[in-house]
Amino acid sequence: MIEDLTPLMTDDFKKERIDSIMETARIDGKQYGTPLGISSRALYYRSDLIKTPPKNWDELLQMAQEVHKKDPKVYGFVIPTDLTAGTDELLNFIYQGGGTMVDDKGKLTMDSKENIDTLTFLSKFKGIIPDPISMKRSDQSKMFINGNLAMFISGPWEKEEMDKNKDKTPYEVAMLPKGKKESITLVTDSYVVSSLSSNKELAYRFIEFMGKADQQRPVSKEYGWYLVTKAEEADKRFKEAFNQPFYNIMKLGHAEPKVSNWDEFDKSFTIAAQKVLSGKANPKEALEQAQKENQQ
Amino acid sequence: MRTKKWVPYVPIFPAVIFIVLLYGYPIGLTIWQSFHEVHLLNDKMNFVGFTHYQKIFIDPGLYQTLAITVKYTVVAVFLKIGLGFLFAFLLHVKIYFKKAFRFLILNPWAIPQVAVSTLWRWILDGNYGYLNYYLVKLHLIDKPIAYLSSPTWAFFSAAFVDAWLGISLVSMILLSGLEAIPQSLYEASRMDGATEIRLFKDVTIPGLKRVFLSVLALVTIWTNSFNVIFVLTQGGPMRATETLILRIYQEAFQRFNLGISATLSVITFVILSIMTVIYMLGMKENE
Repeated sequence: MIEDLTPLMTDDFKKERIDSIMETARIDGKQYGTPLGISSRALYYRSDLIKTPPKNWDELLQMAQEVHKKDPKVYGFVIPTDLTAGTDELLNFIYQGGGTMVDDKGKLTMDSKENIDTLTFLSKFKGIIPDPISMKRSDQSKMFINGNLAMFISGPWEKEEMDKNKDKTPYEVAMLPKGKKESITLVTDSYVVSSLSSNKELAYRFIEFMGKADQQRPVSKEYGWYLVTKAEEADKRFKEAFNQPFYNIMKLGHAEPKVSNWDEFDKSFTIAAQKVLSGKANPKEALEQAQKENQQ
Repeated sequence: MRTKKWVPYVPIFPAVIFIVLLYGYPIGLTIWQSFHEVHLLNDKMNFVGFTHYQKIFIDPGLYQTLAITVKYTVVAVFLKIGLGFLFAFLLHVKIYFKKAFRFLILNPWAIPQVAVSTLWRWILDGNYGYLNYYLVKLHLIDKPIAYLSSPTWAFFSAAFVDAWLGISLVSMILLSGLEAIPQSLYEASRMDGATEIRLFKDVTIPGLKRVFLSVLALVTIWTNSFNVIFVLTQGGPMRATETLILRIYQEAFQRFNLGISATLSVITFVILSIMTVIYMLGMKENE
């Protein structure tokens, strides 16, 4: 019930925007929205506990084990798995593992070999991560600031709180550790027009106005979002050292899976990961069950 | 002068209309929707006959949900009645500050369920909750317990909070039952040499039987708490607290399957109606 904006979209407007980001709101070649916000991820780590950040998955696991072994009160790493935000965080690993959730034809690939391998890798964190079932993304920085966590993956919005506590818990940011390849989930929010609207063209003109770099820039800056227009590429803030790991990985990003029922997909995939991380099911069983639930 | 037969029905007519509109319409609409594919964004409804019922009855998920619902009800009802009776009994015997205790015991019932559940979510939080904090501080446990994120703990935690909310009412009803037992029966039995245990077994329990059965039936019917589970666990972790009422909500507002949600509501309505009939028959028999 969302209007296809393709016929209304001018070439000039399309030229101003980054195509890989526009792709996140495109289905079967039809542009249903224009992204207004995009977030990115990097690895936050305790610079006093970890001298060189992990570059790949094996190093990440090894460092997580070492930190926790050295001081059992400090967890080396954490994997958010709660139902509100777990999926996007887990999808980073799925894409880095070379997997997808949906293939080019729209067919579900949740139980693919690549995804089973990824969850098998994540299952190695069992016992060295806190609460493998309902850890919230927002709890990670709290644990870090409290001195109970050495590494976590999150967005640039954590900076303000992390800076306030830098004396007690010094930190740095680094690129996400590489799996089979480097990648990240591109999570976007988009402007859309309802198909029931009686003023579709007028609504679209408003979107086009808001989507211009001059209007977009203050919105993105305020929310800590990354660029959606080509004009923003030259902005000073993306050249800052803190923003580099977030900015660089975006070029290797992969859109969120375009599934017919996100809530159902979200829930079944998160539950599959929870089962694996808590040892209640093996990766193959858990992902097959999730795939089955989404096919019903 | 003979009054016409229809005259007594006139004064109750507005009430009948009110009840039909308030209860009859939503129930009728739910039954109607259970036979239709309902589209959310327009008024279209396609008749699908018994398709939703077929789909639900062959889905193993339904039986899993029903099993969780039954287990949850049994645990919550057991706690409500067990603890409710204990508090009623303590308030019945001669103690100091009786009125203050009565006031305190009514408190959980007076606070909105969502507020109580939110408070318990803070208390039971695995990482930052008060309960873990004090238990660790008192050296009663070595490491925090995941009350809301371990499937077994979450199930019992939700059932406990549900029971905590219902204990007030149960204890007040049972207390009124205890106070209705004539004192003369106790006095006569004591004169015959009955011990306190014998008094409890042969006077208190038989005297409370009718009230107890009513409470059991009512509490079983009412233990369908959406608020508590939704606030504490949202049906998780790993569907461990996904009761029928949660499933109805999820089908409607997460999967947007209004038809399936309506069908599950009809099934729940039938189950609760059967229980209500049993309760009413029991009451009639006791009369």
